[in-house]
Amino acid sequence: MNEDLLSLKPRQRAAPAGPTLGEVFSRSYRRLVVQLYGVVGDICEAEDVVQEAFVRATVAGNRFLRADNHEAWLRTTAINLHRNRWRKLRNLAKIRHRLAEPTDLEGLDEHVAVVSALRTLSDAHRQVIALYYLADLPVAEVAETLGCPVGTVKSRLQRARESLALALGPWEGRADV
Amino acid sequence: MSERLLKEFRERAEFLVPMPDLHELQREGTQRRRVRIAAGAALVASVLALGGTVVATTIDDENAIEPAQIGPPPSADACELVANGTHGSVPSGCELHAQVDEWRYVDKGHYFVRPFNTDLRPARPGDLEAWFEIRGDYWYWWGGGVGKACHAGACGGPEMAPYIRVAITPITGVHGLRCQGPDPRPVQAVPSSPLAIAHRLVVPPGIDVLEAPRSVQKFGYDAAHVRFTVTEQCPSDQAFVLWRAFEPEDDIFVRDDITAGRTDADITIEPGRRDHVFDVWVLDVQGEPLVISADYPPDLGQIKYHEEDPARLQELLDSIRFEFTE
Repeated sequence: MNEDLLSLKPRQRAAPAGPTLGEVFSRSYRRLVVQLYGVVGDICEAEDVVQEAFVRATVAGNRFLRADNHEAWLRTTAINLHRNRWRKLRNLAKIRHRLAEPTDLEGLDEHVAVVSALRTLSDAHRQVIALYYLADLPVAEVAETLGCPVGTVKSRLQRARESLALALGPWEGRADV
Repeated sequence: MSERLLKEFRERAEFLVPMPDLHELQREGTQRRRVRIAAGAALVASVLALGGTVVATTIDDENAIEPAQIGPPPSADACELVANGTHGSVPSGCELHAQVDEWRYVDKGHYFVRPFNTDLRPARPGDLEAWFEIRGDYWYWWGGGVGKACHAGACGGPEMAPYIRVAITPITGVHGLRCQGPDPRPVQAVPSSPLAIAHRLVVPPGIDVLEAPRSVQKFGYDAAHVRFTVTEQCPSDQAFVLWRAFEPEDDIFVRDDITAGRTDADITIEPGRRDHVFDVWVLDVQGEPLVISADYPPDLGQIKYHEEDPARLQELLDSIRFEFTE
């Protein structure tokens, strides 16, 4: 057997050394739902896509557990799920106003103003705000997650901040907010 | 101030989010895996029970190779793919499941995949089936097609670097950025014709076109063929993406190191060398774009590999036929 053939010897599949799915779930589920709540503006949709991401993680098995960043894997999957669903619904855009009102997380009380303000933003602006402030991702990772250039994220972030400040204006100075 | 409100909202909301039962989610995930397996087994059983000769008739046309004897119908258990892909092999006549990441050897014989059945649901009328024949040893199924990583002795498992890989997959998107890190990226829409898609697949940089895209008739459909090599050497933590095969995140990509770049998708081609040849046919199958790709080293058939490999690969490609579930 020559050297070239030796180079084709089997590579051993490394056993996933990271956390289990249960550990990832305990650590990341709530955080991801809130991030997706910010992205999609609807708690039911956020819970649905995050839970679907965990189902897909189960299907993926070791493929998922071998990922370097489990939360990023789940977040990207959830965002793509939402985008795909929305693409399929784009033909319904003309009747969007007739669809059910978005649902909020029960018990948010005064913080619901933030959700309301987020909903005044465009989809693109809401996504960058949610990923930057709620997911605490740096601009480069926001760009990576959304598949757009860093410069685009920066400019959207700037405009989104301005819009958000405007929307939250009445609440900004209130001590109870 | 807005930033403070957002962070307060985040902390409060995280506290309020109810936790679902993880076991329920895991049960659903496990059930989906089982549905994939059961659907394939049931379909094979019904097809063989109804006709017994379906496999033979699918390849019976002007340039078909001799159909193999497939023997008695495989049982559902015999077709079942198990998680540990290093033991046993899939018998002839079984369905191989698109996007299923289990790695299994396939016996000599005939197999089919429903490449557009990305939900892996039970078969229904009108489903496209891609049939092909394996005539050599050591071929295996990798989720998007068949490959060969060795030709003698102990051939290891799914982490071996294949030197021949055949893909039969949808193409649902193309990428603007070719070198990508571990996380899947959004894709661009595929062009409308096979020729336009073939041109889009070899947009520079990073690609050396050996044969320019041209329209052909192949596999019974209007198609476009292009031959190329991937010359780009992506950073060690990235991979060179060719096309999006399955939604939401599975791409066909090239990487040199099994540990580098994308680790979320099992659909990988890792030639390990810059001169690997990619023969790609883009088909329009009743309005749905489909890619059949074969990648192999330019010195395939020489002593380093098995002398029969070129013939086996050609036979496999020649055997590909499409059927629609009735």
